[in-house]
Amino acid sequence: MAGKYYDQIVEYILGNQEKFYRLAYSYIKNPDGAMDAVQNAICRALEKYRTLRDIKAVKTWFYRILVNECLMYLRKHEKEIPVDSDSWEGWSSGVYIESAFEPGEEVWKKLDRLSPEVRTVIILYYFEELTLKEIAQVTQTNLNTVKSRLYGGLRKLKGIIKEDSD
Amino acid sequence: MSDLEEENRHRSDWLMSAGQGENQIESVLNRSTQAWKEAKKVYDAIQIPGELNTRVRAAIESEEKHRKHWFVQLMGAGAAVALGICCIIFQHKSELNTEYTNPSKSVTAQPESENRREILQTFFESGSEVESESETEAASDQSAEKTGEHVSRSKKREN
Repeated sequence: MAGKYYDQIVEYILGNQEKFYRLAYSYIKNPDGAMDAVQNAICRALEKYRTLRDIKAVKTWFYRILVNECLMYLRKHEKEIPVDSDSWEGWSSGVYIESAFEPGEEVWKKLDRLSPEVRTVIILYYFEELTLKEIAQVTQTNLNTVKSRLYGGLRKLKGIIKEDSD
Repeated sequence: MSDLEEENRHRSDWLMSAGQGENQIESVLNRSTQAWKEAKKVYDAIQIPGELNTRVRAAIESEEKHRKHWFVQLMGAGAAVALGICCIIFQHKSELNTEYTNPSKSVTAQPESENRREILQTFFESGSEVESESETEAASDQSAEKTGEHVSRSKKREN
């Protein structure tokens, strides 16, 4: 019977909410926006929980909802100019704080220069440690498309790093 | 070969090909390099706001409330439909009973206006008969009176 997994879905959501927030934040770069996206994704998932046929697929099923919610949020707010709260506070207090060089952060920031589709594949593969097959399910694309996006994204990232280092 | 093994093989192939470039940038993109580890650390270190937990709870609770509300609405609608069906059945049944006990109310029964017309017709007909009867009675009385007068006059003459 479909819909018998409600409690398991709630349990999964409660146990992994921080991961969801991180993933949403990696897209939206705004704490409130990320929380909104997570909240909307949870509501959507609980509305449609009957569509889940197998509880083993809950991870890819929920990630798909969350990624869609994040992309929808970005599309909705793409005309708004994001304001980084830290730098804003710095300017308003009259003190400009130069952020320290962080090699990891450097790579992280360069990821933002990739398209959302490519960034999704790289984040899910390297940070969320999903398999290519799972990513194909999450993004509802062909496995070969996922592979080409991953390699294409890495090639592009290589170019960006090379460009910046020259 | 399982999915996990295939995935590991695929990753090691990728790492091998990335390493073959003997390029510093290639190694930066290599998952096992310090850069990716640092990037992962940055990803993991994203601060989770305390509000997240309450928001998640609120989302779940609101969804549960919505589900209950929806269930109550469904039950209400079901009860209303059942009541409606009962009313229709009851009405139909009472109509059948009326037809059975009062055949004049059947479909073949004469319309009310026709009945009325008949009643009126009978009334007027009977009324005219009564009238004619009374007229004849009055006429006979008058003739009796006249004959009486005539009798009394003839008696007077005789006298």
